[in-house]
Amino acid sequence: MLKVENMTLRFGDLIANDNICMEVPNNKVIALIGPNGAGKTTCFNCISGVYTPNNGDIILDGVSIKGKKPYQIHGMGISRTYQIINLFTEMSVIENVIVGMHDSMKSNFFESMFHTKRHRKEEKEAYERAIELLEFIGLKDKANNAAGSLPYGEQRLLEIIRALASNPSILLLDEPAAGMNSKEKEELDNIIQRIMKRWDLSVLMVEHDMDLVMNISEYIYVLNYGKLLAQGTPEEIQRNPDVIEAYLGGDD
Amino acid sequence: MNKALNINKGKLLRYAPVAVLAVLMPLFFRNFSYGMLLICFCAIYIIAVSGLDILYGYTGQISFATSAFFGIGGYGSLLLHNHTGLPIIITMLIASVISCVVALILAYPVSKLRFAFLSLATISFNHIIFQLVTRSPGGITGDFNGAFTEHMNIFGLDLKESWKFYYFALVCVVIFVSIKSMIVNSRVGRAFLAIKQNLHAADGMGINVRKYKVYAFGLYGFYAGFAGSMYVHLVGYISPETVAQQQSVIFMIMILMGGVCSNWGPVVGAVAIILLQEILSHAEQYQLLVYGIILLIFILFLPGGIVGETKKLFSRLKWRKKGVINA
Repeated sequence: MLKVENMTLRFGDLIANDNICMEVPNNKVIALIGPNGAGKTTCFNCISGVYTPNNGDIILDGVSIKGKKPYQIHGMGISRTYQIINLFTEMSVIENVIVGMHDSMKSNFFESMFHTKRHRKEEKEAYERAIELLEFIGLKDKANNAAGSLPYGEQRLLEIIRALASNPSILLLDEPAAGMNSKEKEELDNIIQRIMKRWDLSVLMVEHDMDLVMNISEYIYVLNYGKLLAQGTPEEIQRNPDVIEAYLGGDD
Repeated sequence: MNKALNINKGKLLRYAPVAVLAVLMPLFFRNFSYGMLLICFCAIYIIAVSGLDILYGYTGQISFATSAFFGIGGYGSLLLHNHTGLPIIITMLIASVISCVVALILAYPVSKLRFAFLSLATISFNHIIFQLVTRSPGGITGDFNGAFTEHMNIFGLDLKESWKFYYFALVCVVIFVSIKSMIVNSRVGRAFLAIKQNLHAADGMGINVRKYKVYAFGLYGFYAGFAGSMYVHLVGYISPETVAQQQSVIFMIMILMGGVCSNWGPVVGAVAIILLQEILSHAEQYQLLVYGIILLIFILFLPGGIVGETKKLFSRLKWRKKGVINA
C-alpha cells in the first residue's frame, strides 16, 4: 500500500503540491484527475523520486521512500510511464522491455563481462519473459522493430509493458490515453483490466479522459491549483459541485 | 533469436577469412617492415578506440582525454619496468589497472556532466596529465625529452621485431574486442545504451545511471591504458607528444570516422587515420586542416561513420530487393 502524507512541494514561491494526502490500497485502480496545471504530474514525479517533496512523507508498505532516487524507488516496486513518451527509441521493442527488467536481473559486472553460465541463463529467461509480455500486450510481432518506429498508441502500450516488466506493486500511469483514438482507448481500458487480473498490483493513474477514468477507477482524487479538491468514488466525484465548478468554471 | 543471447556460430564462421588474413599478414609484409610497424600501431589504436567506443558510442559520454589514459598506461608501464624490473607483461597490466582506477576517480565527479561540459572537464584532465608528464617530480618521465624503456618481451620471449609484436598485438586485439562485444551484449551493455538514449527513462527503469557511467569510464581507462603500455614497449620510447591534447582529438576522429557501436568501427577508424597520417607525412602542416575537414564531413553528412553508413546502405539495398521500399 502506498500512502502520501501531507506532501508539499514548492518551486520557489509556487506551491506545486500543497499538503496532499492520498492512499493507494492494494489491488485497486486509483485515478488522479484535475485541470491542466493542477500538479498531477508533479505529484507523480514526487512519488517516483524525480522531485523530493519539501514537507510530508511518502510511504510504501510502511517504509518511507521520500528522498530516494528514481532508480531506488523503481527497485522498491513503484514503476511508471511518462506523459511524454520516454522510450529508448533506437533500441528494439524487446530490448526496451528487457531494460525494464534491469533490477530484477542479478548478474553482476564481471558475470556480464564474461557471459558466465548464470548470465546466459538469466538473459535467456529475460528474453522469454519479454516475449511473453509482448504477447500479452499485442506487440510480439514487432519485437525486433525499433521502438521509435512504432505508432503512437503502440509506443504508449510499450511503455506500460516496460514498466510492468519489473513486477511492480504500484504502477503509475501518466496520461496513458493521451493521443489515442477512441478504438485505442477502448483497448487500453481492456488492457488495464487484464493487467489487474494478472498482476498483483495497484494502478495510480493520471488521466484526462473521463470515460476511461469513470469506467475503471475505484476511487478518485481531484487536484486543483496544487491542492486536493475532492476525493471519492466515481459516482461521488461526478456529483461533487466543487469538481464540476473546477472543470466547467463558476457562475460568477 | 535475440542477438544478445549467444554468439552466433554462423557469425564466427564469417570471421574465418578475416582470421586467416590476419594470421598471414606478416607474410605480405616480409620485405616491408615499416608497413608491419604501422599495422602494429593500428592494433594498438584499435584497442584504445574500442575503449572509447564503450564510453562514447555506447554510453554517450564524450571524452577528449584518451591520450591522457594512453599516457598513464605508457609512462606507468615504463616507470614500473625501469624502476622495479618486473616482467613487462606484469607492468603493463599494473599500469592499465592504474589507468582504470584514475578513470574511475575522474568519472565519479565528471559523470554528472554532459556534452560540452564533459568535453571541457576531460580536456582539462588531459592538460593536467600533460603538465605532470612534462614537469614531473625529479624529472622521472624525462620531461620534454621523453624516456626510453625495453622492447616487448614475454618472460624472455623477445618480441622486438614488429612481425613478432604483431602476433602479440593480434591476440590482444581479439581479447579486448571480444570482451567489449560481450559487455555490450549483456545486462551492463543494455544499461549503457539505455543511458545514452534516454537518461531519465533509464533512471526511472531502475538503472543506477551514475554507477554505470563510472563503469564505462573504468573500462575506457583500462583499454586506453593497456594500449598505451603496448605502445611504449613496441617503440621502446615515449615522449610527451603522445599525451598531447591533439592526440586525444585524433582518437575521437577515429571513432567518429569508423563508426560507433560496432566491433569494426574502431578497426576501420584506426586503419583509416594511420593511412591518412602516412599519406600526409610529407605535408605535416596540412594534417590538422585535413582532419578538421574530415571531422566536419563525418559529423554533418555521415554520422554513422564508415561502418554505420555502409550497414545502412546495405540494409536499404536489401529492403529494395525485397520490394518493401520502392522509394
